[in-house]
Amino acid sequence: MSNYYPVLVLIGLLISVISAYRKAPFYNYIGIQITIYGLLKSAALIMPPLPAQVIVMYVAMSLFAFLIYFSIREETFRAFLEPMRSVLADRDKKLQRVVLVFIAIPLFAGYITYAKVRPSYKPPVTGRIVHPEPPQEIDFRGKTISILGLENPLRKETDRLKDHLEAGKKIYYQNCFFCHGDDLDGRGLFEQAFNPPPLPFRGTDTIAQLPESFVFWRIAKGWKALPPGSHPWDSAMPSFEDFLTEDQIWQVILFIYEATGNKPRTWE
Amino acid sequence: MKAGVLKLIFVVLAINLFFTYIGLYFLPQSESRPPKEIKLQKGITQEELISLGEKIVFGKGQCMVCHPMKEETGMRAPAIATIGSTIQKEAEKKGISAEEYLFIALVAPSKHVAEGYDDIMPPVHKPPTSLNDGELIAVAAYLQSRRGKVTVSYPDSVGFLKTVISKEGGE
Amino acid sequence: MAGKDIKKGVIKGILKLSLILGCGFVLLFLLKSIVPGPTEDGYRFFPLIGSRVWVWIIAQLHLNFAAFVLGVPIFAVTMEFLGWRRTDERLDRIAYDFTKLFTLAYTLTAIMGAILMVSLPLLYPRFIGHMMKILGPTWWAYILFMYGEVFVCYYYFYSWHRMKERKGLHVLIGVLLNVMGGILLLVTSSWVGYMTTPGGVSETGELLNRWHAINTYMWIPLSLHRLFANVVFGAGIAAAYAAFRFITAATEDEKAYYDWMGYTSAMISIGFSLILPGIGYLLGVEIYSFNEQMGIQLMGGFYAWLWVMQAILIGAILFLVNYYLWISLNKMPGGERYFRYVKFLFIVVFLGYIIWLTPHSVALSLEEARRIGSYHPALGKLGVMASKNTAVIVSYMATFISFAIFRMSNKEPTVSWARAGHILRALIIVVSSVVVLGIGVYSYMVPSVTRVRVLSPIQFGIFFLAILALYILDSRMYKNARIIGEPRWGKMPERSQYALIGITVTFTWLMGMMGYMRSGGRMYWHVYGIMKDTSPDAYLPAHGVAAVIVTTVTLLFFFMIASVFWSVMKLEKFSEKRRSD
Repeated sequence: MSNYYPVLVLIGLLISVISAYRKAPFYNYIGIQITIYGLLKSAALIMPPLPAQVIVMYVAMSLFAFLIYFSIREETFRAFLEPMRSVLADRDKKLQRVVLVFIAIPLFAGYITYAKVRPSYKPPVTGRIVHPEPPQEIDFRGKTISILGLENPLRKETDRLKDHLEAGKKIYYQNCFFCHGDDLDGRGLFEQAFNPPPLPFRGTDTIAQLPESFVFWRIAKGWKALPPGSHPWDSAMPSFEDFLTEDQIWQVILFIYEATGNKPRTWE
Repeated sequence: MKAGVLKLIFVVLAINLFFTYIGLYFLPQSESRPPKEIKLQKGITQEELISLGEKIVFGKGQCMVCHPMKEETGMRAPAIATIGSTIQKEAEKKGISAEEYLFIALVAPSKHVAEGYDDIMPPVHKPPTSLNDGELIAVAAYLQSRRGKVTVSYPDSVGFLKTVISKEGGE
Repeated sequence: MAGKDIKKGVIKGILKLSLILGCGFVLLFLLKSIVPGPTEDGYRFFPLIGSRVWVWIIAQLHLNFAAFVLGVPIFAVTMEFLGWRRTDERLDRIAYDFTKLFTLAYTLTAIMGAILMVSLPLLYPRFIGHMMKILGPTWWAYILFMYGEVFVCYYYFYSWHRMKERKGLHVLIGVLLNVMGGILLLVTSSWVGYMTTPGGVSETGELLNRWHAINTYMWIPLSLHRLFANVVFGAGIAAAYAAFRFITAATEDEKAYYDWMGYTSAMISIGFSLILPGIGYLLGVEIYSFNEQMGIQLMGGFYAWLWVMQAILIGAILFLVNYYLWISLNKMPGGERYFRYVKFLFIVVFLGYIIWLTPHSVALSLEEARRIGSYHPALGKLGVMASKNTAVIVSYMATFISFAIFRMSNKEPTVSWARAGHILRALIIVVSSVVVLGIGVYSYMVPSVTRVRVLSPIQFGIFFLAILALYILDSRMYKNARIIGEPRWGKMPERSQYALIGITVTFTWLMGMMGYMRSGGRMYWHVYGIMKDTSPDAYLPAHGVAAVIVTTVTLLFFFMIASVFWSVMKLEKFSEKRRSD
């Protein structure tokens, strides 16, 4: 969709240039507004899209500013008002007048009202803490595990690392890949079904930012252990302590770091 | 002239309505209510004490105004996430118990300013924050729980807290 | 007969003040015995809108009028002085018109003050009791100086024509009037200063040292900030008055005069507003050194979004001022030569405004949060202080250039080095802008302490140096310049006058909002850290509620000030009629 916005920019520019050439500031104004709106929207092509609220603000600002600009010189301002004046006052423009006053404006007002009262099913917006503080210690199937400063015990077994990785791979493709994807990019079969989508493990901003202890806690406890600030209801992560053993979890952690080339974060 | 005056009234009204619109629909709407005083029950468990302390640190105590949660550049005060271990280390250096160090840090913060920071913290048992004894102990418990060992409890620590206040926090 | 006039005028003023004060005291006494006693913790409740909103509105209205009657005399006397030294009739006339305005506004100021005087002890008896205990004597001094002020003010106004031959003495009376005004300002600021940054009392609120309770952290910076803001505001109201008279003017002569008055007042207003950020900074520093917590709370806590609002308001003011100056080129013979520069100035001011109101964090819909994440790379960079400081300095620079262009647009330099001068001016503008922008970009890379304490002051310093250099250069270059034609005062399209009114309305709104923030910085305290507010109103309302109240105050104020304008016009008609009889 956003691919078409540059076309809008071109159309706007065209209107603006032609009307500047023909000295018709009113249409120039419209052309400039279209250009600016198109530019703000096509920003999405080179960076994350601008939030709607910011676009509204910028457009309101440019509507106001260019109105001011075209009213600086007396001649320009008179020419700017001319189309509006002629539609409203000229005898031979009766048809346009009727269309504008009795059809266009009521339709516009109707549309605005419709857009305002149309029911929408979007959930309300609230901030969500993505990486909450994990608890000090957790209860893992009756065993107390201290999360603070916890490190992956399997990393010390350097001679058996290969086996652990192989096991971890199997566990991943038996349990995790449905959501987190066979390429560990978060684009599994169920990706489209969840909102927010499952986290990708590739890239430098998810597990690369976390110590393994945090990952262990999230896998073991799932959505249930998230504090209210992190919206447990917005997560579909199961508690894998019901399905996997402690070692199996550590194995799969080894695998996801190894397969994505990420290093776990350490505190000091 | 009449038309001019009418237009003028319109301009004044329109500008005011525009600003009101921004205030009502553009800015976030929330009220800031004065905090309530919390009275602790005897024999409160450690978990309850810690979670209460967390609430005070994030709310009434307004600690987050200066203290960041995690280490970051340009912070004005030590990070909360690891403050428990910081307290233990600093207390060992000074040769006092972690509990004493912590209480002094709350009621007479100028006495122990962490290295590299300005002396900006107000004593929190005095107005405007005015935490009571129970609240102070809850905060202390929460801070210790951040990578440290929790040694305070309610109401056992009240006596010690009172001596620290009378010794250090009176001024 | 003129001597009698003065006497009559002054007696009338004193009587009026005594009557208002007397009514206030009697009303207070009567109401106290009629209404039921206060609640246990010392409150009575105002019906319907609640005590807080009532006092808020009345206090802000009183403050608006007080700012007007204290601010205008400062430049009225300056104008009179200039008119006297340069024997310029027009300056004397404008000074007299200013004086007419504030003399008439006194009555409304006093009435609002009296309502406040009745309301506060009735609604907040415990709080006012405390204030009287700590700062009681200053209140009686305040009444004394108020009488002094009214006496001098009415004398100054009614003796204007009679003392035409003794101008020096009359100017001196005007200076005395300003001294009185300054003292009044200091006294009232000390009350507010004590409420916000109290001193000189024990923790339980017992008086230890009255001088320390007066001379608090906030006292002097707040007084200075108010003093200059009063001039800005007073001049703004005078500009609005001129615009009003311009629109309703019947003759070309009147139009020309009020056009000129509007221009002069607006330039005084904007000129003085250049100093305000600096004094505001000083005020902020004092609040921080009183209590770090309160400082952060005001700057970035609950009130963070109102600073965005402040950016919108100040940006609008700058934009409208530039607009007014650009339209003014229409009336300058030779002004059309400069329209090609306006295009660039417009782009600069437009971009500056856009950057300035870009918020750092925005409310995202869920859909957007999914795609953008919580941090937007481009907006995140524009939304911080580094870019905003730079943007506002560049916009101020553009405003100054608009002003300079207007002043030189009807002249042609005759000095031999005119060409070199033009190049030098372009160089100053380009170099200073580039340096300010460069520092702005650089300040992203340094810790915030360096930015606030070193780089921002340097940016402001460069700005002030640049406008000083431009001013000196222009005044040398355009000495004995060939004048293409006198400005055609009065030949202004009406919409320029709405811009003037817009500036003043925005200013009044801004003042209401900043006053609310200053007061709200105390959170749920009457006297910060000393006396808690335990009434049901002890919370900070949502920004929308505050906006509605600020709008109410602004509209009420404009309604009342319009009645002052109207009575000035009535008075003029009356005296004209008497003269013709």
